Amino acid sequence: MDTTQLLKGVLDLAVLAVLREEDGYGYDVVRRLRDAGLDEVGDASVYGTLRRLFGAGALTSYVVPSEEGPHRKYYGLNKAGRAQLDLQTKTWSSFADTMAELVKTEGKRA
Amino acid sequence: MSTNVTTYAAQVRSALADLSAEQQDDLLEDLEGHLLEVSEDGDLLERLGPPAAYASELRSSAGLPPATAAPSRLARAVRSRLERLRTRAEEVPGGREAMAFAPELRPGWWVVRGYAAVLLLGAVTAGDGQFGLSSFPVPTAWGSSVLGALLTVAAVVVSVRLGRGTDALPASRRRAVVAANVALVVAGTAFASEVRDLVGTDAYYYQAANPYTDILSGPDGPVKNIFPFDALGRPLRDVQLFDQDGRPLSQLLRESPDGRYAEPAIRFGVDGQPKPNVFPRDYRVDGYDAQGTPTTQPVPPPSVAPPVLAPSPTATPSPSPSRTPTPTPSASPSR
Repeated sequence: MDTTQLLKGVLDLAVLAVLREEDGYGYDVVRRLRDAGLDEVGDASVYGTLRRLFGAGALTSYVVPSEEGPHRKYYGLNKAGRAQLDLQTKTWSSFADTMAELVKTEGKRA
Repeated sequence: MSTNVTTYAAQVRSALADLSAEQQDDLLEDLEGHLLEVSEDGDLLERLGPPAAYASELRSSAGLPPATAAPSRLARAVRSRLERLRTRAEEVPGGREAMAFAPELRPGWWVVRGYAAVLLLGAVTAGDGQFGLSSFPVPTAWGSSVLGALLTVAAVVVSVRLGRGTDALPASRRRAVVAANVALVVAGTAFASEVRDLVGTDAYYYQAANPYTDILSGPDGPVKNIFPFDALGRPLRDVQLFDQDGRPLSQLLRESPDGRYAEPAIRFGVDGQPKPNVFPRDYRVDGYDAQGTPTTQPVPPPSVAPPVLAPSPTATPSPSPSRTPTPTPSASPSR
């Protein structure tokens, strides 16, 4: 099953969850998502999601200057972001449980 | 490897060309840093896919609508050229700082733009042949400087508000603003060069002393001729007149009393120089005499009977002018 479509629906949640651990910049978040097992996640998608979440007021951001390269923009959760994370976690958990039940029943029948 | 990053970034940027400048900056500010890091791990195209795909993934995950219209070949070529110029400018020492400083000058441009627009309006609506600059630096509108001043205030306000809102406009509107800016600059430059010519010629004409301001005037109009009489009331001819500074008295209107002839007949001294201050003036008449010299017509004196003067109380003659003119008998024939 192609996880790309699935991922699109929950990318917000995944990004928020990663940032809850620790603030991160774009590529850093991409790496952490992939390390967590989400190989399919696209760099551009993560960047776009970060910008959208920031625009929606769920993230703080600050620039960290760097000597060897361009400055990096770090993102972190703010209060609204944490609230959104909790809400989406609940939604996801309930949805995942429902799907699990559905699949189990189907499996049993077959 | 860094060339790849630049090219890739430029292509992503051009795929987002239809977005407003603000939106583009938001999406692209981390792009090059990101591309650099990815390029350290491998090839950009392999890891990220083609730039157009990257751009479309970026904009959709950011919640922006997909590209409205594919920019034309020309637009894309222009944009990529501008991109290359921009990266070149940033590589020059101090270039990055200069590029960062440029946006701070924008509000100044908005003010200048409003003022220039009213100046242009004044130049177009002026009927005085002076491009509406009679009250410069206050612009005029239809000749009125009050209206010009009011319009300037309004225009500057409008221009500043437009300037502040330009970044949030859709691409087609932004292009219209840029086109209007360019048109204003071009029109302004064209008018400026015309005005420069005008000012130049004005100065030139002013120097060639306005012939009408220096003319002797009587209560009924300009003096055209002088008829001297002696103490006994007898008309004099060939009288040379000088003012208190010894300058020849020549600022008389040149046309003849009946308005027919503009050229008085000039008398010449033995030195061959013209003597315009010999009175009464004769006037040139159409025609030539047998020798081929133009004929002149003596002008009859006005019908006044000058009185006989009482003997002057002072025995000595009146003081002579600072520069005593050398008495020169009038040369003949007069030309």
